[in-house]
Amino acid sequence: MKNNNFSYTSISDLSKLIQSKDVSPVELTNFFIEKLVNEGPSYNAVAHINEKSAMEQAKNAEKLILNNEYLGPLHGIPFAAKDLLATNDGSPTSWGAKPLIKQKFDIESTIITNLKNSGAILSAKTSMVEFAGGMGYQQPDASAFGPGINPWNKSYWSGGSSSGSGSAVSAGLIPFAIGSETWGSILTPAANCGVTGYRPTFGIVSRFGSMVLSWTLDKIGPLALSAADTNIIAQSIIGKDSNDPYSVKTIYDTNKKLPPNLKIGIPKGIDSNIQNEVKDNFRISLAKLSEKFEIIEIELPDIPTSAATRTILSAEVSSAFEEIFDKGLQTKLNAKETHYSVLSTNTVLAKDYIKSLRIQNMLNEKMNKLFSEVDIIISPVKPKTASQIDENFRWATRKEFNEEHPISLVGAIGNLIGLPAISIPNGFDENELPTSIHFIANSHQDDLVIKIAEYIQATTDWHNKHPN
Amino acid sequence: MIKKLLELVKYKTKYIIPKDEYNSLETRIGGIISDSEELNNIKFHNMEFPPIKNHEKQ
Repeated sequence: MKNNNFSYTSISDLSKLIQSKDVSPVELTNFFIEKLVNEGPSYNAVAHINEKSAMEQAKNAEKLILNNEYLGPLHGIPFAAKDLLATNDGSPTSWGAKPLIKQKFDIESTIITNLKNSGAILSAKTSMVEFAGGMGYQQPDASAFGPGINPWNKSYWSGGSSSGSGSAVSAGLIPFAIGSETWGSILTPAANCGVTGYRPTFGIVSRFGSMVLSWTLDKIGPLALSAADTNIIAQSIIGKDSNDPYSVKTIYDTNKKLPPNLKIGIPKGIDSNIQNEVKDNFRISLAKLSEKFEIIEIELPDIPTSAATRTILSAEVSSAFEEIFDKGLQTKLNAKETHYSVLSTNTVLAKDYIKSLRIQNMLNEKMNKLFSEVDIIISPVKPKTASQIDENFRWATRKEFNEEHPISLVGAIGNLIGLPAISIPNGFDENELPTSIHFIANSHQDDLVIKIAEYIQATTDWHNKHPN
Repeated sequence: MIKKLLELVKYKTKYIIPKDEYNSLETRIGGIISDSEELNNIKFHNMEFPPIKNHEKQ
């Protein structure tokens, strides 16, 4: 490795260096901790660096390597985790919130345990939007650690709520980082920062030890440099966990082959009224896919998906954060616009919450039918590239939020019924900000979305372009 | 309607809400009402689509 610069090296290449003993887990961990310490603050990407614990893990990993006990491709690979995943190493888990900046737990999140058991080394907690955005923030400066700064252009936002995970991977500070998504919080920072983000099928990755925003909608997944890296991570984090009552078994095929007759659905009107470069790059990606696969125009179900998703989220926020509201802690958050407005979540009618759950069931049925016609749905992740760091971006009503647009609808559908998705970069706009596409498939088809992303990345190099 | 909901919030949360926060709270409640109205357009028969959790469908 030239100059021992390990930034942007794929997990499989790092893994080969470790397995061959050309590089030690201690050397690798030292390298990335130094990057996180020196460069993390310039992106507001880091909540806490677990240096002492990381070095202990690295020494243990090294000892095993020297004893020829190799745990697999994540052995000795440093990673970071969103600051809402509990650890029992004495480090704080603040949920991105100033009033909880010293909060500590005596449990370890299952996803972190699983990664550690695969030999990966937890090196840092990454910053995030306070309470994962559940309070209804309307601008980027909504975190105890400041607004997430985009490594491609520091005047732009890295996205939320897994802001630090997106920035840290994009800036080469860590090989991969764990994020979480209730409604867009993995795919958005992945898209804004030009990295690969994977949202697993609801329930296949345990949420034990993770802050609850919504029991019905929360998912946990990685942000990484490529779909191939994501495939390696998925093998470690997927699995049923008796500590998470929503956890389910799945079958994940690491070596899944894409069927030659694969059909890709494009929602009608998906590229109308969007940023020109997003549209152009989307069409180029489509042309590439059409060389091998059949592309079919589809109609998305015409039911109030966004309203149902938001209703479930609001109702569950009012319960999940009842203790926070009772203590008035939300009035100490950075985003002033949320201090009292979030109390509105207490007004969701029980009948609307239940109806939203019934709509979830109805949507499942409709999407099952749609997925009998196509295997995968493709869409840009967002109608435009990253917003500016001082730009307001979210409004309270559905019409102002442009929820009618099929791109917004794909996001709402995927989150309401927990469909697997992967976001990959597919070009740039005139400001050198990344554009991205994402693929979604039916529940438990996680290997399919990862493999189609791998297929695209095998023939393009957008994922190999990095900020200076 | 909004006023009644504001009273409901105050009752449920035991909060004394600063008057200069009323606008943002009203806007958010307006969003919840708008969602409620939209949901009201869907009518289910008694036996249709019972609420299930995603994890139960497999």
